[in-house]
Amino acid sequence: MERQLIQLKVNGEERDVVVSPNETLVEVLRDRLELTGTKMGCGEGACGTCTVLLDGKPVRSCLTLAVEVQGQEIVTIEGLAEGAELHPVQEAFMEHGAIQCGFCSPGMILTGKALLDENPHPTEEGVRRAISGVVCRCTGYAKIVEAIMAAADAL
Amino acid sequence: MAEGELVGQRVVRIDSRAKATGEARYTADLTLPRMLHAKVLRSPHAHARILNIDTSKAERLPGVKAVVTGKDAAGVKWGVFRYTRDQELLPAEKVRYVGEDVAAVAALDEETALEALSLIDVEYDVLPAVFDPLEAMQEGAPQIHDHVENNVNIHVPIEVGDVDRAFQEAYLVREDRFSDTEYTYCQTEPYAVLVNYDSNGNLEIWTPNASPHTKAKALSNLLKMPLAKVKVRKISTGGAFGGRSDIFPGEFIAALLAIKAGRPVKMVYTREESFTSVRQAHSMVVDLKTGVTEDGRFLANEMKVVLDGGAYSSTGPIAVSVPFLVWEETYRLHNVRFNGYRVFTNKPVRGMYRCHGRSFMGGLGMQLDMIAEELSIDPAEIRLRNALRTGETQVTGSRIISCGLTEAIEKATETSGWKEKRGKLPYSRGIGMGASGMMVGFPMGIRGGSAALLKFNEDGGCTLISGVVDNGQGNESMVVQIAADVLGMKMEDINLVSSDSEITPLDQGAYSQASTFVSGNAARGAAVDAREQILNIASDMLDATPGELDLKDGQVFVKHRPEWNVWLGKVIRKALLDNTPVVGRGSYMPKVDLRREWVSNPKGQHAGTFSFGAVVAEVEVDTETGQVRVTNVTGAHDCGFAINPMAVEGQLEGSVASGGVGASLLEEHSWDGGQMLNATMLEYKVPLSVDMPQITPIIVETVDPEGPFGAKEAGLAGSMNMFQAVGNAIYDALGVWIKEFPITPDKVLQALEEKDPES
Amino acid sequence: MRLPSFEHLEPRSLEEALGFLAKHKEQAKIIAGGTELLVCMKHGLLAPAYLVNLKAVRELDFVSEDDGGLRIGALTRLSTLSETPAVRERFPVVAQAAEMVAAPPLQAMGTVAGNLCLNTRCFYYNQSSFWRQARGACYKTGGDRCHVVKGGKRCLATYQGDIAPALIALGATLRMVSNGSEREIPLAELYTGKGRRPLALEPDEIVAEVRVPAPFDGMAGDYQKLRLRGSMDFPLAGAAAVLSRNGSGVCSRARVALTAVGTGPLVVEEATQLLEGQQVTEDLVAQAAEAAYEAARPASNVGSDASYRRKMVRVLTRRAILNAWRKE
Ligand SMILES: Cc1cc2nc3c(=O)[nH]c(=O)nc-3n(C[C@H](O)[C@H](O)[C@H](O)COP(=O)(O)OP(=O)(O)OC[C@H]3O[C@@H](n4cnc5c(N)ncnc54)[C@H](O)[C@@H]3O)c2cc1C
Ligand code: FES
Ligand code: FES
Repeated sequence: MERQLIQLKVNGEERDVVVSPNETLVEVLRDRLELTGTKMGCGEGACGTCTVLLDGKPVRSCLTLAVEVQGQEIVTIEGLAEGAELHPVQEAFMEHGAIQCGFCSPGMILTGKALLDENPHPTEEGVRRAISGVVCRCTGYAKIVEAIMAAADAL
Repeated sequence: MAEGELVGQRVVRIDSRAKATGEARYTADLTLPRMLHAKVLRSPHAHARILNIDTSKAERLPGVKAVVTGKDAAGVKWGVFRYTRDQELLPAEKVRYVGEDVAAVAALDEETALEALSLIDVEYDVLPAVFDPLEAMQEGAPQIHDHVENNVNIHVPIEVGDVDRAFQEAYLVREDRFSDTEYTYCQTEPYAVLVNYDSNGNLEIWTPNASPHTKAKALSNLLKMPLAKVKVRKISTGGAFGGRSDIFPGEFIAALLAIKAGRPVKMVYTREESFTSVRQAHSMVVDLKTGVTEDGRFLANEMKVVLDGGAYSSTGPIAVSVPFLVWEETYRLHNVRFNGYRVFTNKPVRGMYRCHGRSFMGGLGMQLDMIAEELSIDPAEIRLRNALRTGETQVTGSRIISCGLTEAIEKATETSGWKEKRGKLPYSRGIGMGASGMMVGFPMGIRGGSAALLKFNEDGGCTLISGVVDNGQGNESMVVQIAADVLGMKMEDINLVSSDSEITPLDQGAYSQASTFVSGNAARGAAVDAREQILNIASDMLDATPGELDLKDGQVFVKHRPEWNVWLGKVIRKALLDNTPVVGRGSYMPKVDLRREWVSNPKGQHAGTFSFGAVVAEVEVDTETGQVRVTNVTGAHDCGFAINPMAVEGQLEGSVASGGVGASLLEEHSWDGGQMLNATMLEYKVPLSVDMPQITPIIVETVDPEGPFGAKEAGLAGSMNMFQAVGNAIYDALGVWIKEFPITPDKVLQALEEKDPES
Repeated sequence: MRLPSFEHLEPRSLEEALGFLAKHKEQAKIIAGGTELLVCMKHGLLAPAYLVNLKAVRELDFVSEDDGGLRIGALTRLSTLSETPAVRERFPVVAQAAEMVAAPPLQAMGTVAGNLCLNTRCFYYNQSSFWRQARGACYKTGGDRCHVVKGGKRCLATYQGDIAPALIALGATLRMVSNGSEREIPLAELYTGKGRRPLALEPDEIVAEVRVPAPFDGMAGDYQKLRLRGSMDFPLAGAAAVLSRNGSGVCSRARVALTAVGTGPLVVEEATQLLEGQQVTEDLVAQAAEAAYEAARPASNVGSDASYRRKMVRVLTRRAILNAWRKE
């Protein structure tokens, strides 16, 4: 198995990394690029904690090969704020108490952001559907839905 | 009294910014120089003697730095109680469940560690195994621990009053059996541990945990190291729900490897390992016999519960007792007999869970509704008649110093439109209620209290050092909010150092619903103490008595002449020069009867105070598929006083998910013998956003005389209430009782078919 | 959980992809969205030496209208499929099914061909290597027994794809290509029902596109899925019905297909016979649903109770037929 040098565009930066083809994006982000904000709750596509944005769409980085996303825009939770200025979805999550243990938060926030980029005025049902692929064990989702709806109003 | 300006506000939690930006670090995120990666070889057998382990090939694999087996563990056993020391965290002779730890490897990377595992040869002598607790109790069942006959791990018998006579006198007696299957925490963060061991013999541990001090103590015992050398560090924790308090094999094994290799060792479990090899929740079989008077008051109560404890004791004595405790904490009981058995089986180890005992709690609530129906009493009314009130004493002797149970029931019924709906909704829609009381803290001996220090800096800012632990509940934020309120400061001006077993004082941990009540009280004490010191020093400077002074926004001022003031930083400097530096000190020990013991002496005050709650849930059933949807939940909770109402609501909403939808309707493990069939996030059904009802949280405030600003807890009663409410709502919708949790669609359908075979 | 090692091949054209497959045959495996394949690989169920990644084969990523029918490129994402106006408007049942697959992010990753080519699933198969090693190989992993039905003579792993039934009911065909040859088969014929080799797909073959014939007059369809949660879950049973109603209110064409209740999607022929040429009445629909119930053979290997799932086939089928009938 040959290791190869690839370029990844993560949070607006071009990064060179040497990877094996069998490395998933979540592994490369966390282990090689030290972007540990992306979590890995299951590694099997079933929890959504590994969500990152790929060309603006939320995807499972545990089921994505690092070698297959060269040239695409990857955004992780670390790339959302502009300096000290948080993204409105991040702000709303804080303000509305949508974060408890925080382990689902990166995936939730990115999913919320992608939804609002696509549909700035979603219905509550639309929000629930959009985040239905991300598991939160703490909040019962109520405040997460509330936060995303509030961010939509703020945006 | 709650007069503060800050407590009671919906404040943004101090931990949320780091969590919103991905900056918060969880164990698996950490790396240390020269760090190794470890993996564990696990037993494929439910019950087997280990005859031989050959690790020589693994040791020779390039990149492997240490291999450990039971031989390295020196046979020490662990148990939470002195009388439950039955678990070798890395067994040498026998494995007792599929997934139990057998050997471990630390290597340069995880792939090498995994390869090394495949090179370890283990010879087993497979033994007959038993998986059902009732079978395990039978004569002739395989014996899992040599010293334990009939596999009865713990038996808690409690009897008060003349139960048999009271049953004879009862107007109505009902007997029902309720049961459930195993379920689990499924915290979103999988188990992980990082251990660093240095040449001075310091052992540092990072692992998601609810109690660094508990983990440190266990490791100090097991590794025979002084407590001061075992340092469980603070780390963000991705949920606990009761499942991260006890010591686990992972910490112990990683420590053995780190010591052996002389290098830091990180071990991250797969989701499957997190399911099988850490902790699960108990399944139970509950026999409930209840005798009431004609007007529905409890006269005689009898409960027998059998808990499937899995292979080891863990927090066994507590787990068996909780069904009794929650019962006596909710209702006025007079003559009561309880027999709780925790039984060993060849299954993974069970611990305490936020949704502990859906069968007993759901059962209690459902049987009460059955009784209410037979007596033509409204379910809300029968609860009110039996509900404990402030000033009453529970049947084994705990006095209740504040109780909002009645108010919670009333508010939940009022807000939910109970009167208009109960019994009046169209077929397939129903409404039900549940109520419970909950201990705020367990008696935990020296570990039951908390202490805090508050140290002022010369710029007027301060550091709060508290043992408080936060697994997501908002506890860190809570202690800062309390201290800031007392000191008239902004929350951001108080820096918190917490949950580090080396630095922070002993604390019970985020466990047994005690953080706000105990740790919050300690933090408040430290702040009050510091405030007094500050006012004393300032009184010289302002020429006023301390009583005439107040402290706010970094100024000490004379209350009636606010223009007479001095900057706090100046006061601190003066204190330093006077050799009286400002260090506030606070501590709290709940007023419990320390003679109370789970098994040998279950009487006396067992918690400092109790919280209460009631929930009304509405369901909609698809009568053709049996699928139940919880559509609306109104939850009223007496949390004493809501320091941060947003956090209280969050706890309640979380309880509705894990208790009301998850534990009530969806979650269970399926098995083939000792092998778990659904150890994946896909097949273990944690509720999703689209499965959740609309939730209306109602905060009931009773202002507890002991609690900080009157606060108690908010974590548990919600789920306990949901099991009952959902079970009862299904009855209201369909006219069938389903007595086995979770109430999955196949059970609903079967119940409907039994009721009406024509359908 | 780590992936076993492999060489990653990135063809830019179908031709190049076919070349790789022709060269490496059994040693190669196609990856599209990867949402199923990579999980299987992490579990050690497959360890291909080469992964032929179709992502850059743009010519497979299209949806177009053709003679009133539909051509769906193999690489079309499920989310694209359900958002495409031609699909939504003219073949809504396909969009309906695609929207029920897993959860939205997985729909944005998963492809149509990947979905159709899903491996069959079983609680004793979709497990880690450690898990499986505790009980020895079953038929599906090359062993000589079934863990689900002790003493069972064949593999009972369940096909749980969501969109196959709808496409089968619409009469879809597949264009399959390999180096130098090409064939078109009815979608239903892709499924062999065999544990080891559930798909009639040669190692060097690629599903290039799905062809859906033009809608019949007065046609409508519906898909009903049973799952425990409102998202993420594979079907525990699923039924698709596509019905056409002629000018005089008679059912002129009826197709009913099931998923997750057998080793492959099942076509309920009897439903066709019962319904076609008839006025659709509740009673007739009940008979068709009964026929579906009779045809279904769920095994206790994908969650929930098998007999319950079988009963649900009756309910789902009835609902699907009635909904389809009422939609027109
Ligand atoms: C948590 C989770 C939940 C899921 N729930 C559902 C669900 O509810 N319903 C459902 O139907 N699916 C579900 N899936 C499975 C899967 O996500 C979808 O079926 C998806 O559409 C598969 O497409 P893919 O492109 O990702 O397939 P891949 O994983 O890329 O491939 C799947 C298989 O198809 C083969 N293949 C792919 N493309 C071609 C081609 N053009 N020619 C020949 N062979 C090909 C591959 O070799 C592989 O064997 C779920 C998956 C996960 C992880
Ligand atoms: S880690 Fe990727 S979905 Fe769970
Ligand atoms: S906040 Fe803990 S999992 Fe969502």
